[in-house]
Amino acid sequence: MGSAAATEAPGLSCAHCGLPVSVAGARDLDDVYCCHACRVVALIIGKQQDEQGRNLLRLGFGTLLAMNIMMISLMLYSGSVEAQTIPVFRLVLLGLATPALAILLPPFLSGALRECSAKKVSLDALIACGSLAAFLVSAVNAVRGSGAVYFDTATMLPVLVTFGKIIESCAKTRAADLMHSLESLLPDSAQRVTPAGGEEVPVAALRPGDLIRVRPGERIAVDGRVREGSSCIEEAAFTGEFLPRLCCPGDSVLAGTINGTGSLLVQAECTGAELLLHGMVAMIKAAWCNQSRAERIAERAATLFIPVLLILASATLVCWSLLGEPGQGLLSALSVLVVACPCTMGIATPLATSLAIGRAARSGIVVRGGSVLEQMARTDLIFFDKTGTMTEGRPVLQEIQVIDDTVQQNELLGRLAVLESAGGHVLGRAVAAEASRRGCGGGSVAQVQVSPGLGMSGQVTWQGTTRQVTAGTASFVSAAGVARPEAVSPAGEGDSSVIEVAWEGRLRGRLLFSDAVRPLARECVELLAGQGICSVLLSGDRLPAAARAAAQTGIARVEAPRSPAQKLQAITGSVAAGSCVAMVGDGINDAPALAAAQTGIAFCAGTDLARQAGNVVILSGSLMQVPWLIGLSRQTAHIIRRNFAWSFGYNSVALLAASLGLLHPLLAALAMAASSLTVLGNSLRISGYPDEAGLRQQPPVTGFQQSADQSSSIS
Amino acid sequence: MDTMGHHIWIGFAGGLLGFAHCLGMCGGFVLHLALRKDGTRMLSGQLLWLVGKLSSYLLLGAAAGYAGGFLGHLLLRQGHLQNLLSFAAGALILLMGLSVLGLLPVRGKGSRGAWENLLATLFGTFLTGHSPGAALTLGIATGFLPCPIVLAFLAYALQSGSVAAGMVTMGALGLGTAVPMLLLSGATRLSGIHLRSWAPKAGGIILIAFGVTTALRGTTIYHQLLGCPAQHAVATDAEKSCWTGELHGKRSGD
Repeated sequence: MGSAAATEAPGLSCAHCGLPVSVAGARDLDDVYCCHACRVVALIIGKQQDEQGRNLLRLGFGTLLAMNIMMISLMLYSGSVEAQTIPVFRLVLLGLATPALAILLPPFLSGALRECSAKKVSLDALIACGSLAAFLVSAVNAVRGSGAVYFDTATMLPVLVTFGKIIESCAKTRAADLMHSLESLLPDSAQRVTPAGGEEVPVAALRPGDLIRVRPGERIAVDGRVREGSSCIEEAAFTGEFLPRLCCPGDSVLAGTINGTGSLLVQAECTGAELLLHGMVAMIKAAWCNQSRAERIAERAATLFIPVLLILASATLVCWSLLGEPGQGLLSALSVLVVACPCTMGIATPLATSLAIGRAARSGIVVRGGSVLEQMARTDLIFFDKTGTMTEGRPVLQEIQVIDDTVQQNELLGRLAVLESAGGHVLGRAVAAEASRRGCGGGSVAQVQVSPGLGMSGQVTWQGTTRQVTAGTASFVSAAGVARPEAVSPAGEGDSSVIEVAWEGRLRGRLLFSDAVRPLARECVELLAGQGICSVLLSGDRLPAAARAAAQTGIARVEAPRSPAQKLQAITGSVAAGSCVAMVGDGINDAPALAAAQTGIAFCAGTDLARQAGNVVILSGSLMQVPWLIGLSRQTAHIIRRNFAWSFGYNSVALLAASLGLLHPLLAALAMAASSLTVLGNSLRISGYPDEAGLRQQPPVTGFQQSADQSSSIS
Repeated sequence: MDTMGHHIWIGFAGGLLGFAHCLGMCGGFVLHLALRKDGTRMLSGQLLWLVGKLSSYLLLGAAAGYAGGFLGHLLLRQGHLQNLLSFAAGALILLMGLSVLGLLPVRGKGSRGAWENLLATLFGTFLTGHSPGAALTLGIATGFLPCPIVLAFLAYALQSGSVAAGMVTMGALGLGTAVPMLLLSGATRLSGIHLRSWAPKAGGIILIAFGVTTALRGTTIYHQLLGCPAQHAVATDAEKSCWTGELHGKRSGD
């Protein structure tokens, strides 16, 4: 799914703010803009440095003229000017307004013509028409020496709208900054090590298999493995974790992370477009083009908004004219056009979604689209896979049981460690680690026989004495003819994995292993409960092992053992029962279950993002990012709802007041600017959403009472 | 007492005494403009920045005076509410003084940063180049920054109730803050001293004293102490402004 989305990404960006633009919305591929605000601002400010200088001077000069016109008008309104000099002041206003409009209106007219050629009417066209109409009426009246003049309205309108649009496009640039900051993580060059020595080459010239020398403080240029040296690597850009990770030979490293004080020799595994960093950027670009339901509603509303506005403005003009006040009708119609704030629909909703996706990416989480965020905000039931998700996914030695009193624990452990060194079983690595920690390893093994999945045997020499050691499951050891004391029953279906160890025909002891629960797993479940979400452990492991993990993490409901098909059935059943389900699991092994849930959250251990199932990929191993992300999605949904409510309330009241003649066009323009800033500022709050540590200190977001009720019934 | 000269001196003195605070907000822009190697371009850039900022102040002063006149006219009809404008303006100036001194509670952590980032991006747009246009636009935008000292003097302009008084007060304030800042930017260019290390606390104390005085202007005791006639100063400006009650319907020249 993710790979598909990534390949569908058009790869086009707004020429002004840099946000991705879908091909459908772009008519001219050489000059693509995401919205009218960016197009107008690009026209006003310009894209090239020289062009910007000239255009800013024009904008500044036009604004100065408009401000002077406003000041003179205010003096006239307040009666501070002698009556006989008023005609002169009106001509001065005409003299100032003419160049002001010649400077300020062309970008609006250009945009209006462009939209007209596409058989569309934009708000820019309405503002240009309104401003010109006000100017022409005022010019005629000023020359005639009678009648009202509206030079202040005609000139301040484009000024206010222009600065409003600059602020809008600045807000969007903030969202696009994330993309640029991710792309700028890669260094320009790297030191490639060849038999002939080291050479500095551009990053684009690196290929898989190349050896790269990473000096202290440098950014790593490839995804690969450490071959020599050890150092602490700062991976905050990918995992949101600010504590550096110690990397030794054999450990994997990612391009864009920062090397600490050590020098590393890294062998490249992925380079160029295959880098995880580029995968993330491609996915976020695709996610920004994948609209949420709220965004689709907002877009449709924005499309309908302008025709409705035109009808309302026309009706206002006609009604006032029929009442015998065409001048008031013109002002009111202009107020209607100006006061309307389509910002919530056109800008604030997609901005909120983009910022939320960007905020998640800043913490090392890839969310594949606004619709995913929407679904996640509604989650009331969450399934966790056990092995590798709630647990570390690697067994640790839990207990050593000595059955034969003549044998010490260290001998049991040491002989088994030597035997397992020839096998490479996952349990054997846990034994070797413990033996190494106790300092009882060391020895040799010969004549090894391995029965895959059951056990192994061999001649083990440990501290100078050689024994024929057999180790494995109880049935394997019994089948090898080992005598079992009567008091000792075979290892049963407990909650741990067991290795029985025997030599010289006698059972000597047992080693019990368990899969350790991830740190903060219990806190994660508690936070989810605080958010009104019921957690369920869905495991393919034996029930005792799953129940033990559930007890350790505080999960009340356990479903185990479940085959992949049964996992799928459990999720589809819950979805059919009306729950909004999220599944957290391994991105590759749990792919069917992740795909069946409304939100599939995958923990990505490797660098192959495209192979990861699920519409959310968490690059760090931190379970705490699950409730954090749900909190972020709920905050986003809350902000979008509030923006919609504000927009509906504001537009209803403001349009009514404007059509009734209660709102002067200038006050209308100020109200529109204030409304735009309110919704944009509201959306921008998402970028300041606290990180995990901040979330733990805050009370949980509990806006979903319905979810809480439902989860309690499931439990 | 409420002559234009009086407003000019109050605005100019306020600007001179509060400029240390303004350095914190606008010092960076002035230094940015002072970085140009060409002396003529540096001077023209700074002058354009000053013209832009001054124009914004003048417009704000005119708007505040106009609004104050309108409000004063309304309050004049309600005899017992005449002094409300002075009290409100005094309270606002007092609050701004406390804000400059850092004695007001700060905002919540959740909302911190968003607007600052937006403003930074906006100003970054104007700061990208060293063109005269960028300096002029930057100056205009700078004038609208919600600085406590500007807000305090806008409250004073509002209380004056006159467009002309508002304009001269804010114009003088702009000159009072800008002239020393431009002089010091020249000194910085020569000596490389760091202006931001100047403590802006003096401005806060001045504002508090100014706020108390403005609020007291609404009381009878204050005028009795100064030997003024029984009429309040608040009404004087409003009366001068010839308000007819037709604010939006009465256009110039109608």
